[in-house]
Amino acid sequence: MSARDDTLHDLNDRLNGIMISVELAMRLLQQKETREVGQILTRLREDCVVCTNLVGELRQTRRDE
Amino acid sequence: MARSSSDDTDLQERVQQEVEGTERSTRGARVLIVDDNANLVASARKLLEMAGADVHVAGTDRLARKSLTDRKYDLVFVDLMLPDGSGLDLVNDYYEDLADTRFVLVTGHPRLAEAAKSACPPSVTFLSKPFSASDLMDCLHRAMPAGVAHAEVPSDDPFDRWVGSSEALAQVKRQIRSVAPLNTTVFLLGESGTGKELAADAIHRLSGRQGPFLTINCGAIPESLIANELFGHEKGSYTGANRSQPGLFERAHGGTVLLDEVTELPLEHQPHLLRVLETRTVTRIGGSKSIPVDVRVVAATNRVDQPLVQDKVLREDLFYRLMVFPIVLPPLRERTGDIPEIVQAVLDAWNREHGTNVTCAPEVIKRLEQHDWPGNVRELKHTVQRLAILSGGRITEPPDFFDDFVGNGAGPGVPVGTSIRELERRLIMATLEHFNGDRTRTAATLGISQKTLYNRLKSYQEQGELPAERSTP
Repeated sequence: MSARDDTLHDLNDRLNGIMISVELAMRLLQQKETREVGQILTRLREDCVVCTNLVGELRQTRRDE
Repeated sequence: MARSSSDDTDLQERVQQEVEGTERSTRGARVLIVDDNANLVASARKLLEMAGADVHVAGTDRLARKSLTDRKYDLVFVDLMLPDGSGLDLVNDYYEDLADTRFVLVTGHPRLAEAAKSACPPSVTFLSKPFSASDLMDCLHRAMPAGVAHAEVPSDDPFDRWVGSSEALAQVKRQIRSVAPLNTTVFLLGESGTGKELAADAIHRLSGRQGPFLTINCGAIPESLIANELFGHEKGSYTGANRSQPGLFERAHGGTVLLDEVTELPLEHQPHLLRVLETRTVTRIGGSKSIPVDVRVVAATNRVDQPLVQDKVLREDLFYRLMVFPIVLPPLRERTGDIPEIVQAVLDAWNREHGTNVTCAPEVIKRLEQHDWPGNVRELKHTVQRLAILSGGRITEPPDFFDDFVGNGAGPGVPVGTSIRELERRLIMATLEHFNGDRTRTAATLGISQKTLYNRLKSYQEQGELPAERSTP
């Protein structure tokens, strides 16, 4: 696998984590578990930053090619 | 078409029943997630736990192999690419030995998934990333056929609710195993919260008796009603006795009766109990007929340090009749080595029930081990539950009770002859240690000024009474 494939795989993985976490947060919100929702959102903020950087890497690789 | 409010109510009830039915079928499902994506794993774990599953996590191939060797799982999610190996190899290595376990191979590479399918047993399920929460739940339901709900199935192990591996507890278990198959009366002696009812339940389960296991707390029933509860009454035996009613011993025919707090039974009723034990017959209040009963009697008391006969708590004849086979249940302070296991068991049950993932820091467990626990396991359980409620997911602070200091030798357990100055020194040092050297909190807790605390510490230093790590006041 190329480095680009690795990055895509990592991005896919992390986006899946975000997706599942959002679904979980929605369920917890229905149960009014706002504290846990807050914790999930904090985790998501960090993951979103990592994902944005990975997208940047992918775009840079494409430009370089 | 407009829906009526009753339609909505019906629908809500159906949905609720469906949800409850779903939870029942997956409750207790043992799931292992093998993946190194922390965020994905945390959320998937929580979702599965909300469905009642008991979820474990392994971030590497090595940890997954250890988990699969140590425990049985109903369902295992394995990421195809692990930091130290291949998920495919892991599945292939364990698939044959774990015939009852369902494996789900998770991958984000469609091409790799195709290749893996050809190298995998046909029963292995594939889940492609990105997957949704409902995909996760589908896998769980497929792995748990209807009716297979571990937590709902009564365990065959009569000691399934006993936690701890201390020798004191093992000895009690040995005694119970020895006496259970016999018809002997057992007298359980143990402080409040030591598990007398659990012991009686284990005796009943090991006895092979097919009748019910009934319990009565002799201290909780008014004196005027206790005889009626135990022995029953005949119609017309007293005002308001409109019909005959069997007592506890008759209702427990073929089974076991636990007479909890038997020492609270009024002296005037003790001869009647003795007669039941001696003759295995019971006579209802107002009746003249002796009714034969086949009942195993287990009695219990928390008055462990009291001379029961001399203090006229129990009649001598009843005392010796009960003491055929006494079993002393050890207080928690005599098996502090079991505390970490008990804490973990309480937290596991808490997390399962509330869908949380509360953990406890090792230093807190150490503090809990130093406490005397006069209320024994019951007190520990409630303390851990209280800490779980107050924690933000991890218990890092020990409970704030005075007896924290007992373990450090500053409580009532201080030997006679200890000087006030020495007692004060121990209390100050214990408080200081409790607050990790925070002198402001220590002084506030002890109700002294910081200046006084400094002066005391300085004095201890001058006298060489300060431990090395606290030698700078």
